[in-house]
Amino acid sequence: MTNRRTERDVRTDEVQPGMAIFRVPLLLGVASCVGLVSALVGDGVFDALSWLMLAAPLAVVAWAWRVR
Amino acid sequence: MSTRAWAWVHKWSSLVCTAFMLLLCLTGLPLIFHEEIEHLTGVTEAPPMPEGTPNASLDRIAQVALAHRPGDVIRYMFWEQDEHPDLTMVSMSSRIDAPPEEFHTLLIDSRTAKVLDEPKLDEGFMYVMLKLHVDMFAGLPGMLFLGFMGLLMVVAIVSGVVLYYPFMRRLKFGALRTRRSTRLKWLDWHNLLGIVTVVWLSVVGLTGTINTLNRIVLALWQMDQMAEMTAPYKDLPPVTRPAHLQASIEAARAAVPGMEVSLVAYPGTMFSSPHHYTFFAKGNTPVTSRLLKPALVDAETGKLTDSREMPWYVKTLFLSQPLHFGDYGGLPLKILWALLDVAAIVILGSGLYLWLRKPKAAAAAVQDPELAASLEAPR
Repeated sequence: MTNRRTERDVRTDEVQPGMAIFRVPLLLGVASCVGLVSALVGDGVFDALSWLMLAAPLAVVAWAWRVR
Repeated sequence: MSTRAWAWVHKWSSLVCTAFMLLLCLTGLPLIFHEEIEHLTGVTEAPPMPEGTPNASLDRIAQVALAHRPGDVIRYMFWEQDEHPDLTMVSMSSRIDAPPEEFHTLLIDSRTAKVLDEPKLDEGFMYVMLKLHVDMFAGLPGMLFLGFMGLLMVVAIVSGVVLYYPFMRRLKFGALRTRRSTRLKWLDWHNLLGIVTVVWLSVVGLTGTINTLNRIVLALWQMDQMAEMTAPYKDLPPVTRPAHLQASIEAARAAVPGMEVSLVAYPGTMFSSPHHYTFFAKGNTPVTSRLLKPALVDAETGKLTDSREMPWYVKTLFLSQPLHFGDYGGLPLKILWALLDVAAIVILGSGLYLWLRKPKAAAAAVQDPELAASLEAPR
């Protein structure tokens, strides 16, 4: 498993500013909002968009688990 | 507020609601798929008949229902044309003002007016799951209590997001340190799952809380818009022998063009006035199919009295339903709902574990000096 993060990889050299810590969570939050609303707006494409957007948080978890 | 104060808020808001949230997440899991489960376990459907077979008059259907359960009264009729085509569901009770949970449902073929089934809806696995989820078999107090627990969960989420900051100051996003200690492993899982599900869990929690207020919202609507629309009838005696149901539904349909009537509430029920049938009609888009519009028809004459858009607080309740159930985007959305629900269960379980296995402050300082420092001396 060469692509795994080592213990050192997950730590940062410097203390991170809030923006860096919350960048990904913020993007996932926006994706979740779009996902929750779009399936309400319409069917078809809107449903598909909703699945994609709400799958994003789960995809990120799967990624973090893979590289742990 | 200091990090310590937020930690205190996070600890206590979570501790109080965790057991109930676990119950809600576990019972909610099968409820997401209730339609699929019902279909698998075989529900009664109307037999196929040639396309365009006309429907029986609703007066006839009412007559058949009353003859089938002599002494009972009809409180509601409803239709789910997409889910159960050509079925009229008739909800009957011993009295018009019997408690809401006391009812029998007849399934009647909309075309032949034959009684097809009288299913027992108050038993079985799904019924128990539903009752545990809605009110823990404790009626309105149980329901409102669970609503309050939902609010506490939102407090736990907000304080959790605030605490995410000191915990992650020197960690990259998605860090899962699984090889050092069990506690650290679950701490990282808790933080990762917690932060990525913030929006979904907040929405499901808040809309769940709004749903627990449905009877209050209904009572408010009765006192407000319903009272306005039925003001001329205020001093008349209640209608005890409602008639002209077919003429009434036609009058209602004319008042809500392009919409489909999905429910009629008889005079004297929670959803109507003492003098009217109230027909609830839905539109045909995902949003408008949830925003029911009422049409009141005089139950003695079969003539329309009024039809208005619901006030904002009823619309809020209506829209809270799909956003809580996850039933508005097909099976894939339900599967995502279930996976996110499982994530919530892991968050709750790991949170409980982290509290039970809380190391003494001194030990924590040895194990993770940085984190201990960030909790002791914020900033």
